[in-house]
Amino acid sequence: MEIDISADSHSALQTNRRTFLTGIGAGLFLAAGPGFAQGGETESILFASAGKRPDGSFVAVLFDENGRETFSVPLPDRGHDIALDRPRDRAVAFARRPGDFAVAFDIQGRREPDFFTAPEGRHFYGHGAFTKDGKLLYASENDFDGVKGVIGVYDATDRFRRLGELSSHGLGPHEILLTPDGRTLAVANGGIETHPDFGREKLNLATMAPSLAFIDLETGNLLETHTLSPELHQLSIRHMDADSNGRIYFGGQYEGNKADLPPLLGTGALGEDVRLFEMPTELLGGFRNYIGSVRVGADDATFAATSPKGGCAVIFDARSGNALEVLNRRDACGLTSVGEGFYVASENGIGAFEPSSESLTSLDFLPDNHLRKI
Amino acid sequence: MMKSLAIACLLAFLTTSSHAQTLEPDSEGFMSGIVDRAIDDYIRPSFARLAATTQDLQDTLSDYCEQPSESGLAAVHTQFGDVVEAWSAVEFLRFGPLIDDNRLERLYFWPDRRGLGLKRITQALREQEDDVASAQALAEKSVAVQGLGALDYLLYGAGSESLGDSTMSGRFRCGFAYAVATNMATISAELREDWANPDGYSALLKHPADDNPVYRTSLEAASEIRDAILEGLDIASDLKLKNALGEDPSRAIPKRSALWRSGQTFPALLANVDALQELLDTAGFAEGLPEEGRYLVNALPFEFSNVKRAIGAVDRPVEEAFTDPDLRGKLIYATIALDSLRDMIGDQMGAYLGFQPGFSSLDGD
Repeated sequence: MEIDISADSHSALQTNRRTFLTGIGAGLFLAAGPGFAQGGETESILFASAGKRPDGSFVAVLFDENGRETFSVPLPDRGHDIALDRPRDRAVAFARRPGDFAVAFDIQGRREPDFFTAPEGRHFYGHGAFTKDGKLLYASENDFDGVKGVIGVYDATDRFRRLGELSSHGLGPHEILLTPDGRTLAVANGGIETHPDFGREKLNLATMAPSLAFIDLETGNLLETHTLSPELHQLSIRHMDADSNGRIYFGGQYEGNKADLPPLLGTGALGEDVRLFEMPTELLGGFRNYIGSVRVGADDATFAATSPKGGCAVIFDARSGNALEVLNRRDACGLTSVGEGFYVASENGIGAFEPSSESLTSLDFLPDNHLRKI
Repeated sequence: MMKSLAIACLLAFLTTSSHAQTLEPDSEGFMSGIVDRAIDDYIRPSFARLAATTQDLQDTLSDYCEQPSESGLAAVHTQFGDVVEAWSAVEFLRFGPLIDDNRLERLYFWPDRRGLGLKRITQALREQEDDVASAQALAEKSVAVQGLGALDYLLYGAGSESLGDSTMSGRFRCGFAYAVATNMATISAELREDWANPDGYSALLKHPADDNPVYRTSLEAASEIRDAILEGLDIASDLKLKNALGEDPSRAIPKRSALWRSGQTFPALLANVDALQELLDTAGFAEGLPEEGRYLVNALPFEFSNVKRAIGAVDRPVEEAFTDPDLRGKLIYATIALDSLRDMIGDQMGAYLGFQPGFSSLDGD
C-alpha cells in the first residue's frame, strides 16, 4: 500500500495546483512541434500518454513511434489516462488519483490547453470517456465523503463545465468506456475505498466488492452489474477494453495474499456473467497479481494485457484466453492496439509488441500507465 | 508451447531486474542474507511475541472478568500495553500471513474513517448482542468490532468503568472484551505458526526461484522487506501524525489518531519507529552499502533518534498533543524526520543497493 500523498501534502498540492493553473495563461503552453505527420508521406503513428520528464516534472505528450514529440502540456502533478475525441481532434488528460485536475487540449495544438477540475468533494480516478458526438465527457470520480463512486458528466462544448453526476454503482470506479453502441457506459468499479485525507491508503480491503457495471447513458439507469465470486472479492477490477460488439475484456489487481495467484483477466458482456480466464501458474505468476492495462486487438480476435510489476505484456486469444505471445519489458504498462498488433510503452520507451527490441524507441519522458493511439 | 512462452517471460524478467541493480556479483548472497535475517531474527520472534502477549491478555481478562479487582484491572491495562507494543512491531509487515483471512484488519481495523467500530461496538453493548461475547462468533463479525480498536473502547472508552461491575452491562462488557482478546490470541497464534512453518510463506521468501510464484529473485524477496519498512514509515508519518495534525491547530483532528482512548497513541508510534529501525538493522541492509553510501550508516540512526526524541517528548493526551503549539511543533518535526528517513532508506539506500521499482509499478493504478 503506497501512501504517497498525505493530508498535508495533499492540501499543499492543491495550493500548487491553483498557483499552477493561474500560471497557465502566462505561457506554460507549449506549441505543437513542426513534425506532425502530413498526408502523403509515410504517415507516422501518433500516440498520447502522460509521463514524467527527467527533471521530475509531469506532462501529457503526443509523440510518434520514433519518439518525436508533436505536442506536450505540463501538468501540475502526475497524470494518468488520456480520453480521446478523435473526430474533433481533442484529448483530455486526467490527474492520477487522488488528483483533481484535468486538461483538455487540441491534438493539432491549435488552441491553448484548457484546465478544469473536479468539484469540491470529488477527485478524479484518472480515466474518462467522450460521447461519440463529442458533446459530453464522462469521468470516474470519488465522492469521498459520501463514500460513493460517481461518474462526473462534463459539457465538452462549454469548457468542460460540470453538468452533474451519475452513480458508478460501486466504490472506486477506475477505467470507464463507452461501448460501441454509443449509449452504454461500462465501468470498472475497483471496489476500494480511499479518502484523500488518508492518501492512497485502502480503507476497506476486508469488505471490498469490485464490479463491472453497465449504465444506460440515455436514462442514467443501471443496466447490469457483474460481481466476482466471494473468494475473489479482493480482485480489484481496474482496466478494460471493449471489442467491436461491446464485449469487455478486463484485468484486475489482487489485494489479497500474493501467494494466492487468483485469475487476473476476464471477459463479460451485457446479459452474460463474467468469466475469468485460467492461466498456467508460470505465466500467471509473471503478472505479479497486477494488470496495468488491457486492450483488444483490431480484429477482436486477440486482447493484450500488461503488468508493470511483472515487467511483461502478453497477447491472448480472445475466445479461449490462451496466451499467444509474451513480451518482457521492464515496467511495461501503456498498451494500445495498432494495425494488426500492439504497441507497448515501458521504462525504456515505446515499441511494437515484437520479440526484437529493434523497434524500441526511447522517449524524453517516463511514460505513465496508459497509452492511446490517436 | 505454453511452457516455453512462460519461461521466456520469466527469463527476460530476470534480465531486466539484473539490469536494474548495480551490485557486485555476490549480491544474490547479500539479498538472501537480508531475507533470512529478517525472517529468522525479526519477523518470527515478533509474531511469537504478539502471540504470547495476546495470550497473556486473554488469560488476565479471564481472571479479571471472573473476579474483578483493582490490581486485576491494572494487570489488564499493562497487558494491553504489551499487546500494543507487540502489534506495533508487526503492523507494517503487510505481506503473506498477515494479509490472509483479513487478519490485519481483524487485529486492528484502522484507520476507521467512518467510525464503524464505534457505531457497531456501542450498538452491540446497547443491545447486548450475544455473538460478540463469544470469540468464535465474533471472528465472523465485522472487522470493526474485533481487535485492538474494540479493546481500546471496551477497556478505556465511555462506560469502561463498568468493566468490573456486577451489573448485567458490566458483565457483558467484560465478556465482550474477553472474546476480543481471545480472538486476537487465536489469530496471533495462527500468524506465529504460519511464519514458523518452514514450508509456509517464509519458504517463498527464502527460496526465490523461477518456479516460485511470488518471488523469482532474492532481490525481489528483499524488496518485500524494504517495502514494508517504507510502508511503516508512511503509516507513521502520513496516517498516524499528519492525518490528525491537520493544517493548523484549529483543523487538528486528534480523535483520528490510533488508540487515543487508551493513551497508547504515542507509545504505539514510538514502538513502530523502534521496530522499523530494528528490522532495518537486523536485516543488515546497510552492510551492502558501497563506500559512497556509507554516510547512511550514521545518518540513519541519527534521524531515527530525532524521531524518537520528538515523539517521546509528547506525553500528553491526543487532544492536547495535536493542538498545543509546542507539542504540535514536536510532532511536525517528527513527520519531517520520518519523511527524511523515507527518503534515505527508499531513494538513497535504494539506489545504492539496487532497489529501483519502475515508474508505473507503484501500487494501485
